[in-house]
Amino acid sequence: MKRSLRVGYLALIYLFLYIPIGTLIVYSFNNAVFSMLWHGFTLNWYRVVLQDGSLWIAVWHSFYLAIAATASALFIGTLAAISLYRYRFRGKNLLQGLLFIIIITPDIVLGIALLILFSLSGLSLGFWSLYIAHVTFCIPFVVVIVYSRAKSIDPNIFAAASDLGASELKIFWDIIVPILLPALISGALLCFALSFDDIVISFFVSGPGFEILPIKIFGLARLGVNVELNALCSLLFALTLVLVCLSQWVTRRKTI
Amino acid sequence: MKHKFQYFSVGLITAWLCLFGLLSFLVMLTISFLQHDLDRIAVWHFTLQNYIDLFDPIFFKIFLKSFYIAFLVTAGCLLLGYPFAYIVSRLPEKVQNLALLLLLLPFWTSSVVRTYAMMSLLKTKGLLNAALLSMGLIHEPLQILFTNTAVSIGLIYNLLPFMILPIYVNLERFDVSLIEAAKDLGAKYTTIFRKVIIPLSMPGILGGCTLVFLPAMTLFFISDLLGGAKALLLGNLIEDQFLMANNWPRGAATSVLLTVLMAIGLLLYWSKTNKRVDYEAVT
Amino acid sequence: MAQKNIIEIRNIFKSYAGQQILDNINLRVKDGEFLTLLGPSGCGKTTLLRLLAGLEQPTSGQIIINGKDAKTLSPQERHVNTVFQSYALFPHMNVFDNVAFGLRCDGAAMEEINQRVTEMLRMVRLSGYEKRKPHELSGGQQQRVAIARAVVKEPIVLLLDEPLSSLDYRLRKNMQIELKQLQRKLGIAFVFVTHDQEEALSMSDSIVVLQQGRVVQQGTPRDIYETPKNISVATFIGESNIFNLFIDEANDKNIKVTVQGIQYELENDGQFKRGDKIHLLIRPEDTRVYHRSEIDDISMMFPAVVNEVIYKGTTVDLIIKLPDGTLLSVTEFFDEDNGEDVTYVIGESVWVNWPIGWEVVLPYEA
Repeated sequence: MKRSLRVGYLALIYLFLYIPIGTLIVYSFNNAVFSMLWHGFTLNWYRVVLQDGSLWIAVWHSFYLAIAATASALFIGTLAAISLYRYRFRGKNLLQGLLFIIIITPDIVLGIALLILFSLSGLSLGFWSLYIAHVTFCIPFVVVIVYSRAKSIDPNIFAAASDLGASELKIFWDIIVPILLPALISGALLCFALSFDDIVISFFVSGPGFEILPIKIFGLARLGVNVELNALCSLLFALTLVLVCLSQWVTRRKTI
Repeated sequence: MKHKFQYFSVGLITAWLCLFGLLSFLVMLTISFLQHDLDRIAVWHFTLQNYIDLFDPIFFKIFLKSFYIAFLVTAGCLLLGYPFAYIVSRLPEKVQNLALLLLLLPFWTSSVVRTYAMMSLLKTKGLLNAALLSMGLIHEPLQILFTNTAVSIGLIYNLLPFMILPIYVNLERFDVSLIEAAKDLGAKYTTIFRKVIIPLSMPGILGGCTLVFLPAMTLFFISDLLGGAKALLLGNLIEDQFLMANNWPRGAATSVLLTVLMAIGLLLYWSKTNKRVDYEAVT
Repeated sequence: MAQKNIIEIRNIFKSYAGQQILDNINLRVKDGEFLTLLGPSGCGKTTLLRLLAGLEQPTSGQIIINGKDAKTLSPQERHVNTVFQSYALFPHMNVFDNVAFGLRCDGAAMEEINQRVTEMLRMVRLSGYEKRKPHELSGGQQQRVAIARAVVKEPIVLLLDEPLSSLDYRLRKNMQIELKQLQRKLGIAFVFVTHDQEEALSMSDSIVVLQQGRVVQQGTPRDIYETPKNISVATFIGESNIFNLFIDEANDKNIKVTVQGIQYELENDGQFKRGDKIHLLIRPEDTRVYHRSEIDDISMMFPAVVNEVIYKGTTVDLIIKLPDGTLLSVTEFFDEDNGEDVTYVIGESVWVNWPIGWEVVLPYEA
């Protein structure tokens, strides 16, 4: 294949990926409500977004839900990954089976299964139902990421540490945690993103009392295209860009 | 110390997953065999009716439609994604990483945001129609939004990386000397591609297809936004049973069916690739 | 030799999932000696080392370290440290922190740590590398950090698990000498595990040959090489030409055997009887070949044909073929004083013998 052909093909795919987002961003600055014609530059829509109180509440909800779910999933998943890596125990297969089931189940099925469980147990849909759902679908990702990093550690490192007189606690804090740190960071970022962006599962287990951003956007988008939403989505994309660059920078620094 | 730590960490995750994973699935399975009731979630009465209902022509048509769309989307992703993965896997390593970063960057934003972006692009007064009109390719704006085509495009847009990544991983590990050996033996480029590269990247292709086909049946919000009011996907059917028709047993039965289809798909994939994939290889 | 036993291993058994890894091991390590556990992979040598390090517990038996039962000792009280095959350096710590780790575990004071680590790094010639991370070091340097990290704890015994196996040939040779010098300087006992017989022979004061979880032979390198206990030790350590024979005649002092149609009278050091089946071993360097022109009397020699000539610099190795098809290896040293003609041509006829008494006679094993 010719070089120009290859580059051209890649460019086409990237265009496909970026044109929708690019258009959205450009038109978020357009001084018109419906028209696709350019009516001049404005920051008006951003002002509207920033002044929309209900939107900010949804952002705040999404944010602290993601933080809570990430912290819990990271805690539970990391401990599990370390145990899976270091110890042989009964029920190891059961645990791996459970993780596997959660990973392969379609999101929508997990969503409705949890919805049924919550309804039957009388838990009202709100923060706690979302929290449980998000922690549940984040845990396997943490386990997988941390476990695969742990697997690359030479087991003799633990033997060496205990040979030099380190206690289990010292091995955990001075050896395991620092070595796993890059995995913990990427696990946390992934969980945060998954939780902050999730729509399929959240759609079923969220209630009117606790609105989160993806559901809010979904609701607005259902009503049709509107410029305020353009501005909001552009802001979110910019935020993502910053976070991804930050994570690239952090992981690159940490692995060296 | 060691034992306390181990019991605590293993106990915690096992309890969590049993309660919110296993138990909720079992409850769903149970509900799918119970009778529908308007006032309550279900009546404690065993029935197969919810499963029989699924073969009702109305639902069956949705099944077929959903399969059809998922098939189109998978084929589309494969056609678009394979060359991309191939080209990227032959780039120098530094450029490869950048190419992948650029591919994945949009996917860190919410899929709702991306779908909304596609929606504004495809609408009658959107940029696509404006561009086509100004180039003189069409004289009337096309009605793309709220058609199957729009849903398919939206699904491809959301699922493309799931096709590209497994194929890329497969091609990237691929030993270049195999191609050189084939060249050395006098094979033409097309022959090498058909007889060497494609067969050897088969596990990646199958993996990618599995990762695209199954979600393509369930991502209800994409069809909600791009397909209009019509229930197109299996996912919409489930959504409707829970939120509109309020028939949870039937919704549960649909979900169980979906899970079974998924399991069959995965089993087929494993038997084809002829290896046991442990759970960490799935993601 | 008034050296005391620093480690005593008494009737150690170890099994994993029903598989016997160590089968009644009895061993003594003397203070200050360089002892090598030699054996093929899977013979249990690494397991034995891990038992000494306290990383695993024996199924039964007793380990005495410096006069105390190891079971009663905490890792700190054992004073035994290990250098691992893969080095097992902590990847996230620099050289200084790696070496200081063990001292910090003991709660040593900051100044003491600084002083001992600096001293130690000087000893292994790594001064100036304190701030480097392990992946920024060469294989040989990583190796020296691993040794420094273990030695800085001032163990009474240092355990080394195939520490040289991942180095290339030249570096391995250098490290062999360096390790030996370090051991002399420190004056502590080294227990060294290897599967490389050449390494074992050149470094050790004492070699323990392990096979299938048992001690087959213990002795000085010279003992092991010159008087192997059985045919498997003999073939594992060095190359041998082996004849399987029956004893023609035997008395208390001598035996008579026939090799290639010639009867030799050899010493009877194994209480062999007439009719016993034996292995007769002759090392390649003890096997002598002569051109017909070099010798007068061929009555105690047998003929052969040169099959292959391999020039090795200091030696010439020959493969010769006996009339019955048997192949023998021969190593001839260049010796200018002797004036012996060591130029051989493939296909030429030669005459073969060996200095009587340099052979090894072992009971036959199937």
